[in-house]
Amino acid sequence: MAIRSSSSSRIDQSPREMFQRSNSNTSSSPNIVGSLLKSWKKSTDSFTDSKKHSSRNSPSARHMSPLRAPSHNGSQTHLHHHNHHLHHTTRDKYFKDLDEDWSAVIDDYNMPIPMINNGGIETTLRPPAVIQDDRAIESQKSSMDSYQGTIPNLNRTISNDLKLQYQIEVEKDVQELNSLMVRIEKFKKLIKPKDSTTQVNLPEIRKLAWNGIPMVHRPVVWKLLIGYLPSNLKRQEQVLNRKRLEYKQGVDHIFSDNHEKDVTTWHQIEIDIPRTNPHIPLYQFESVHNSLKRILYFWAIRHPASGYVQGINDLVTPFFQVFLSEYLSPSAKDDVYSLDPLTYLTAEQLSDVEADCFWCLSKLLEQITDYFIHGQPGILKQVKHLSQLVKRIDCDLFSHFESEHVEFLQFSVRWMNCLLMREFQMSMVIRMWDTYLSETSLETSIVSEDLMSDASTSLDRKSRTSSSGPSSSDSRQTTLSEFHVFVCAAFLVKWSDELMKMDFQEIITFLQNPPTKSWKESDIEMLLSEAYIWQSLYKDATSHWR
Amino acid sequence: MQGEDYGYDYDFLFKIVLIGDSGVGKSNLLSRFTANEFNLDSKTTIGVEFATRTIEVEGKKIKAQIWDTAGQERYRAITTAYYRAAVGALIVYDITKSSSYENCNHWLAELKQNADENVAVGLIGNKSDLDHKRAVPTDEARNYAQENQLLFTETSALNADNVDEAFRALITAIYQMISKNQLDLNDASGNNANAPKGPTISLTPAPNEKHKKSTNNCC
Repeated sequence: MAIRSSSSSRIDQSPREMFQRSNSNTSSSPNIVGSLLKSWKKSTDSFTDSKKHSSRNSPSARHMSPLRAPSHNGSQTHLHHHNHHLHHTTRDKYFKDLDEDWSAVIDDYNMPIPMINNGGIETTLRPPAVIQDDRAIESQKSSMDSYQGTIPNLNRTISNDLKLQYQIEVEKDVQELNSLMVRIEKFKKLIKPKDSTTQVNLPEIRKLAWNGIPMVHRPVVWKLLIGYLPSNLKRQEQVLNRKRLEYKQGVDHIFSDNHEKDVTTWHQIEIDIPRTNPHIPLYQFESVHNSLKRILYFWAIRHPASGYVQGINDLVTPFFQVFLSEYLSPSAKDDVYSLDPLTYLTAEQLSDVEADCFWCLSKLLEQITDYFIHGQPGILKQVKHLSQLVKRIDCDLFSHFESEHVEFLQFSVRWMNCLLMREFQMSMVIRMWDTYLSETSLETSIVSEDLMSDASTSLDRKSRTSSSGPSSSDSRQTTLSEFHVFVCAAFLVKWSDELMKMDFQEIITFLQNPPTKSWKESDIEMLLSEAYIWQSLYKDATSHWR
Repeated sequence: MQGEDYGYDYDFLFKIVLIGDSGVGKSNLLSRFTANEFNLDSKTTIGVEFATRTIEVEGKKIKAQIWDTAGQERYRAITTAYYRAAVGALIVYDITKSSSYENCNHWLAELKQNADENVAVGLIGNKSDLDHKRAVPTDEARNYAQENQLLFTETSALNADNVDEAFRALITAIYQMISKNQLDLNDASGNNANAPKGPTISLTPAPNEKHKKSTNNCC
């Protein structure tokens, strides 16, 4: 496939370096640094060699303990794919040979299972991963020796190969942790510049955020990306206060006796809220139900052309829990999934969170207004674009769908309506939104006011179009909606091999419930990178979309 | 249940739509019938969802391909597209919510407007386990069903009461209708060429799976 070579070279040039690591706070993959960081939370834990080792290499690590280390790609289920590489070359062995015995040994020592770093699933777009692996291997090999003395006790019966493998894993984790620290610092400098600058560098933040945002900075960065928080630092606090007050007064009004309740809308929201993220404890609390009802109802009342549409209840939740996490101590950010917000927030603070969610949801939905208006033309258009795109990038699959009478409308409405949220675990969605929100185009909502735009906005526009940033290297801006179609296409063709063997019923059933439960951040990042590649390859073909 | 399977072998394929207000339990009726599952914490249906089950009626294996639709009004543009090639429909209401029963008129009208005129329709009063909260009397609904020539059953997806029976009655009715009339809905649906269709919406006997695979053409 011609795509392969061009895609890998594209990756090399792309500033959206697909394996550039952000923190992956939500990853649950059993990696070494992750477990180390977790154990730091517990003061009762005694120091082990490995902890000393890691903390020595990253002095600032300890106060960053909530930030779990990046996940390794792959999962146990994929290990067997690599068995046949055993004993081929030394280099291959370290990174591809992970058989069950190896895992068993590690289990014996209560050590996390090392994970391979080549993506979680089989895909035709694997080459970039391999390239990256090679690079990582080279750098790790060169610096490996210096860490030999600091490896935790391994039983002597473990072969040298295994020991070496483990050393490399530790080294890799340390490197990832270091790069995470660097990223956190980078974001910190960008959102809170120390010098006398009055503007945050939004294009730079956008570029950086595309590859993932560290958890500690995510709330602020999301608000900046989506255009809720102004880039003018001096105005930020003032704007927040004003917007939060406006929300509070608006809500007070619509829930007062002076407002005649829209019974249909209220009823729909009331029956949908208990069905929102039913598997996450956070969304079972009454306080959360009430907050979400207020946000959604207020939004619906203020946007009569759309009103509340099922699925918007999903779209508000990433904002909700990310903004809640701002109020949790760094070591407890993950508790957002399980704590009643009223145990750590005052009613006033919760109202502020609600307000932030409301405004950010409004900004997000501005980008996709036509998804939810009468007839849902935006969704139908997106579904059509997806089918056109798949016809181009995977003609065989498209023909197979045709011959099986599978229509895109039958499976991709939900993909569009909920921006693929239903297809992934929440933590993956949040990582995905780092990229999505950096793809939001503030210009779409202000393009008509272009001439009247204030200095800061035109400055933003100018620097954005002239910078070499990912979304501005082209002569035209991309939009979230457009990028999403490419993500959907990348998601679909990922299963191409399987789907080609299925009939109508199997295809629809598979796509209604795709096997993404075990997806790691690296899988999401691979998907986003693939989408980016498709987008850069097909951008001319899709310019008529807007 | 004996003698039935969930496999590919079938004599007929019937496409059926599940419609009704949001929150009446359509998705759970479907999962109860096709997988014998009930989800207390299921998410809202966006667009349409799909499941199948094959049952035996009068010695024939009939595969029911059931499309579960989103109940909210806004999704009508997308969901009505699925009415067109359907040979059967179940209109579902919640016996504890009179508004969901009152809306059945509206659903029936919409079905008549978008579906084939021969479509077989059943009315289902779901959540019969919540009898203590009943808002819709059984007799009233039964009369309404009779007036409009609809099959009628009260079901509980939660405890599985009457769910199989309701689907089975509809499928049997469709089968009897076609074996009596030898309708060829292929022709009928040919008039609606724009309608999205599953692989075999027709009431004509389905080809066997081998044939289907080898020709890549289902009918």
